[in-house]
Amino acid sequence: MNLRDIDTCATGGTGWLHRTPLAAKAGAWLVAIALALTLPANRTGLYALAALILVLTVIAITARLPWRLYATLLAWPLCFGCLFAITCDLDGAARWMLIARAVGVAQASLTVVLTTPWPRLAQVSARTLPRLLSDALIMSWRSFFLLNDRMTALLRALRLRGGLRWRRPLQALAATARAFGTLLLYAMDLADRDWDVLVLRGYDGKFRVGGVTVGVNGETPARPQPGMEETL
Amino acid sequence: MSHLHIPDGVLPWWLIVAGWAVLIVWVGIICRIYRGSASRRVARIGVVSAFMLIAMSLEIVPLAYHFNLSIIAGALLGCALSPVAAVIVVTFLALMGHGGVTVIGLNALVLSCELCLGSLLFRVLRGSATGPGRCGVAGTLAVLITLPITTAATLGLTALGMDVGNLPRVIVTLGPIGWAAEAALTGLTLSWIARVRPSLLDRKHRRTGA
Repeated sequence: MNLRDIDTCATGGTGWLHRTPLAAKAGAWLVAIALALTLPANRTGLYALAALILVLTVIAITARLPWRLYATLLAWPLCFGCLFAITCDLDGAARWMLIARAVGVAQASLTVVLTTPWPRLAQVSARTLPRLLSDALIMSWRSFFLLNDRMTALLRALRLRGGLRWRRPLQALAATARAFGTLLLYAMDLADRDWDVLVLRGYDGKFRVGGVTVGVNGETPARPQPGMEETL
Repeated sequence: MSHLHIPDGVLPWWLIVAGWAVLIVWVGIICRIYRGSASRRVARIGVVSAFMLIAMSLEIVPLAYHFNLSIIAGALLGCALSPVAAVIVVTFLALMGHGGVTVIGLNALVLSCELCLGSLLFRVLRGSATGPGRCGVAGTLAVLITLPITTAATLGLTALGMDVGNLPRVIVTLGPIGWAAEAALTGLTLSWIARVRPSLLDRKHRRTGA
């Protein structure tokens, strides 16, 4: 899971696409997805889709996206596209079209995600999604980094103490289970602690995202909640 | 293998729209029920979703299988809140190219069913016992029953839209290895939690969040 690298690229990137307004990127993203999914599954459609992939690749290069991360993230849709294309009964053009669609749409999404900091995306989600879902979405982003650090430290400690030897898979499995158990206890304590901190800082069911306080259906509450930005 | 990360462009439009519609109604009802009762649930859903994402980063590379620990997540959140966590996890995955963006609805539905079914089975199989052994066995069995069902559901959905050819054969060959590893890891983890902090697996704890 490359969430940390994605976040670093999105927040610390200096390419032209990082400076482009989110609305423009979202519009281009929708157009790219619509194009990729509506092109006919024949030779002409395949060429058009190849052109779209080429354009997205050029955009990624000129926007100075980290190519290694970009390629790693594209490997998954490529793998699953290939899995479906090879195992399912499809003719030549349809088979290539399936792979190209999976890659093209993933490229479009990655271009947006790698150039837009998460709080900006969360700002949009907080305006459109129900409160429970949007708040939990924001909390999960923050929690991921805290838990990831914890899990990395746990696995490192296990490795150093000889608990993760792949020649002893049962021992490694038991050690991994204990690591996950420990992580889970930490996660539940973290959830309780986070909630207490939010309440102390005046959270009343609306997160302040990117300088704008967003509540249900996007209305702005009268009382500001200081410190909510720091939660992100 | 429970959720196949169906890429974009594989399934027909009517199936994708149907998936979104069912998911929106389901999650909409949940959000409606819990509207106005901001509580520890928000933080809990957040950390459990993050926990699942961490678990998913642990991969068995040759099988292209990653752990989900979805039954543990279901046991912690219960049926009522599990779909919200499923939507969060699938959205994150889709934005990273791990499964299609247009099929977030269907992928989230399958994962929601997995969490709910796993949670119910775990509760039924465990019964009133809270011992580590019983919890471990119940968790293992819940995984071994749930994952084949949800995988079959994914295949069934895919088959509605296209000729799946040899795909079931590939999954039936590789899937059980991943299911077994997932079942063992889930069972051991739940057993460990039951030994260290059994209150986490109580229904009362889930409801109050205390």
